[in-house]
Formats: sequence, C-alpha cells, structure tokens
Amino acid sequence: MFGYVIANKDQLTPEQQERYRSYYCGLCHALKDRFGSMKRLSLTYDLTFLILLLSSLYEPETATEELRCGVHPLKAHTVRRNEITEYGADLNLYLAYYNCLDDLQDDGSLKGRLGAALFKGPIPEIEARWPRQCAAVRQHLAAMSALEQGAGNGAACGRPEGGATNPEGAARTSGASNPNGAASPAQLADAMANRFGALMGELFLWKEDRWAPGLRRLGEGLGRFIYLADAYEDLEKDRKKGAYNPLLALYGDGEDCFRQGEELLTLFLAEAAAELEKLPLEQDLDLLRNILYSGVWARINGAKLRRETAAKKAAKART
Amino acid sequence: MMDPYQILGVAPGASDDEVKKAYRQLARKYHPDANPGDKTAEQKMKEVNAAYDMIINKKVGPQGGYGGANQSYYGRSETGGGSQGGYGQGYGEEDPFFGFGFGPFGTFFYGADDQDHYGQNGSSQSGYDPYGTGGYGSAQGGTYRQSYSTSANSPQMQRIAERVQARDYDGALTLLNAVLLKDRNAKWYYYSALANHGVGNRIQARQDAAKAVQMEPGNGEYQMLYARLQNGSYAYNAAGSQYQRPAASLGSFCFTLCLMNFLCRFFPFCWC
Repeated sequence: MFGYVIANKDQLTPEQQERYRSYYCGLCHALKDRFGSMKRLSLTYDLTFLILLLSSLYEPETATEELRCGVHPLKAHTVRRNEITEYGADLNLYLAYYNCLDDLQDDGSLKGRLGAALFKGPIPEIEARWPRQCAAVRQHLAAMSALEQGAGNGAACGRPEGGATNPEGAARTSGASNPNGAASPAQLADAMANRFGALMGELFLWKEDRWAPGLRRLGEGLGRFIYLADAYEDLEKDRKKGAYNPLLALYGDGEDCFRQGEELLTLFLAEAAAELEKLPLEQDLDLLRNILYSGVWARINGAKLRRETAAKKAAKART
Repeated sequence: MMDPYQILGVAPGASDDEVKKAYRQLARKYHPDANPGDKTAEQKMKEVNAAYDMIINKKVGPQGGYGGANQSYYGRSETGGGSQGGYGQGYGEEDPFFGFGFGPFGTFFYGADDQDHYGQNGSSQSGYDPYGTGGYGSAQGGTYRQSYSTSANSPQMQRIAERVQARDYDGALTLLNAVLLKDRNAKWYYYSALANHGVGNRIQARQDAAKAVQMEPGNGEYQMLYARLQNGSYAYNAAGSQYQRPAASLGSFCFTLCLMNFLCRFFPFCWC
C-alpha cells in the first residue's frame, strides 16, 4: 500500500527537496506529539503527498521551525506543520494499523502482528475525529477482502471462465466469457481497483467543500494506481503463493503482462494528474507534479530493472 | 453572461497557471473567512468560483477523456447514508458515445485522417492536440452519423444501443450478458466497452474496445473508441515528459529514519 507516492529526488531543486523534507519532518513530529515516539514507525511519504496537496490548495497557517530530533540529533532541520499535518498524522496511523492487520491476515507475518499491536491504541480517538474517512477505510478493505476470497484459484490462474460471482451486483457484469453473469477477470480487477480508489478518494476529502469532487477523483485515480502497482510488484510472489493477482488473472505470465500493466498504470495516473491540473494550485505545484508524473514510477522501474537483470543472468547462464 | 476571463482579470489567451494565480489572488480577497457577513464579497466569490470552473473545465473539454466531466459514482461511505447501490465510479455526465455519430465531437488528438484510411495510415498520431477542438469538423461528423445509423443492428443490439444512449449502463450490461457467446461480434464488444466504461470498469472497457478493433480492424468507429479511451494516457505522457522517470534505485530521503525503523524493531527504546 505504501511507498509509491514519492518524489523523484534527482529531479528536485535543493529548495524543493527542503520543502518536501520539511513536510515529511512535520508529519513525523505530529505523529510523535499526538501518539508517542514509537508511532513514528508508521511514517510514510505517501501521506506527505496528501499534506502537500491539501496545504497547497487551502494554504493554512503553517508553523516553520528549526528542530533537532532523535534521528537528526546534530543538525537542526526545518519542520513545517499545520492543521493538515495533524489530519495526515491521524490518517497515517490509521492506515498503517489496517495495513498491518492485512499483512497479518495474508501471511501471519510477525511484522504485521507487531505493527497491529503497536498502532492499535489511538485507533478509537482517530475514528472519533474522522468517522467518515475511517468508515471508508474499514468498509472498502473489508469489501476487497470479500472479493478476493470469492475470486479463489480460478481467477489467479488466468482462465477467462474462472470469474467469480460478483458480489457487487450481477447486473454489473457483461462477463465476456461468463454468460451466467459472473464477473470476468477484468471486471474483478476493476472492482478491486475501484474499491481501493474509493478508499483513497474518501481520504483526500479533508473537508466536504467545492473542491471535494475533484479531490475525490484525484484520490480515486491514485488509489487505483497504488492497487495495481502493488499487484505489478507482487506478481512473482503471488504466482508462487497461488494468491489472487489481477494482472496474472488478466494476462497470464509472460512479459506482455508487465507491458499491459504499465499501460493500465498510466491510464489510472492520467486521471489523477488531470484532476491535479484542474485545481488552483500554486504553492509546491512543481513538487506535486514531480511526484505524480515521475516519482510514482520509481518502484515500478525498480521492479522492471530487477526483472530484466534476472532475465539477462538467466540467459547468460544458459549459454 | 459575463466573460469569465474578465471576472478573473486575465487576458482571454491566459495560460492555466495564470488563471490559477488570478483565482488565488481573488479568493484571498473575497473568501468568506476573510469577509465574515459581507454579502458583496460572498457574491463576488461565487462569480469568481463560477468563472474558474468555466475556464478550467473548458480547457479539458466537455468530453475530454478521463479528465472531463467525470462523476464519481460512489459519493459516500455507507455510514454517510444513501449508498448508491454499487459504486462503480463511472461517468454520469459524459456523452455515452463520446459524440460519435450524435453531434460534434469533444476533444481529439488524431489529425484529419478520414475513416477509410484510418487502418492503413502509418502515422496515426498526426495533429496531436489533447485539449483543442481537434481535426474533425462537422462534415466528417456527418459521415460518422451516417455510418452509425445505417449499420444493421439486430433488435437485441438496438435495445442495447438504446440503453447505452440513455446512460442506463446496468440495463445495458444485463442485456449484453444475455447475448450468447457465439453471437458476440465486434459490435457487441463495442457496446460492452461503452457500458463498462459507463460504470467505471476501465480495464474491462479497454479490453473490450481492443477486442472490437481486433475483430473488425477496418472499422473507424471502433478504432476511435479505443483511441478515445487512451486519450488521457497520451495527455499524461505529454505533460509528464519534462519530468524524467526515475532511475531504478529508490534513494531514501531519510536513511537514518529507515535505519531507526530497523533498529527499533529489535531494540524498542526511545531516547527522544
């Protein structure tokens, strides 16, 4: 879930780097002040993007301080914090908690277990502060879980007729190969991506005002992207585990799978970026564009490079 | 009807960034928080907002790919009341046929290639123009209108077409579903693409549009739909071309924090 919505540092000017880091530091300090030192482990760059975006749109009063901290004990860093940072901190912790729960359910990981235990405490107070957003997180994650369980092994193996019964409503399907009304692999992938999109969309609405529809669509586009980017990176892992992977279900195992995946990722990002361009943003606009047009591809490119390197090695070993 | 550019105080040819700057300046001036209880300020703010919306949405086009008059189908979480029974994040406001055969087109990015040569034309991206009015004039619009209405539609297909035109995508999908596998021709995939697009099934829509083109390569209408669905991606790549994609390594901003994360897992102590 986390780690995709980041900046491409190499393309940032020193000023932009300083601003990016200052909001990240602000988020870290907010986590510490609100929830205690240990909760800082939930810190992500992804929520920093949201804070930057909303701060640019609403331009709230922002406190700028030079601070030292446990991680930077020698040199003071600029730390920027505002009302939206506090919102970001609440969301960051909430998402981190549910992410750990998800890991825990998926493969009983120790990291999941520890994280869930660590982040659990503040959950009720966050839910009290942001009931709409928290309900969306719980509801959409639960729906995704149900969809995934329904998918079973048929979808994971990529057989077109392996589609699951669509709990979203049979009428929604046209099931190219499923005259019985079940969802096709593509529709299941759409359902999953749209669910995560809906989750993100809700979080992007700090307030329900005139910017809400555009922000929601921005969040939705990013959410679909994150969901599919995860699938792109986890393809090998899911194939070995026999777990549901939308790209596997759609395109099978070959290189075409990745190419198609990249096209879909572009499709999803395009909607998000188009919404960004419609907002009256001035402050940090270049930084936000860097993230949405460039930074988001960092992990995808990393995965691609690893794949190509492994393929080259395998080819060499055969000669 | 006042001129939106005049309201914002910018020249008619102003760039998006200029429009945004102008908006921000005026918003700071007339925002209700800065002018509590001031009715004139409130009215002015409404005008400024409306002017901004008009300019920005016109820029992206009334049917501008995924950047246009999109509607989020799913408006609220279930606890907010009024779930809309399914939340497919479709495109409520958009013309279901993107203007094919039913009037002037929205945005285009293919040049003035005519329908017959579409399939054979090597340079399919001449006249790339994601935000302009494109290369198709009303004359060619007439051609499309003609080819659309004279192509033979079985009664089943006709009913599906009607559902799509009426934006009843659920209804269209149900009807599409009822068509037997053996009867699913290129036209079926074309309508399936439109219906799925309507409910927000982007992956399915793209797949179906591609299939329609594959089954009937000479059909300009199907080519156009597929191209239309890709419109946003072209615009994204063009806009993003000045931001190079990152090299493979991740490069952490805050390496010490990552180290701390790692250490804290094994030595949970806090000194700060």
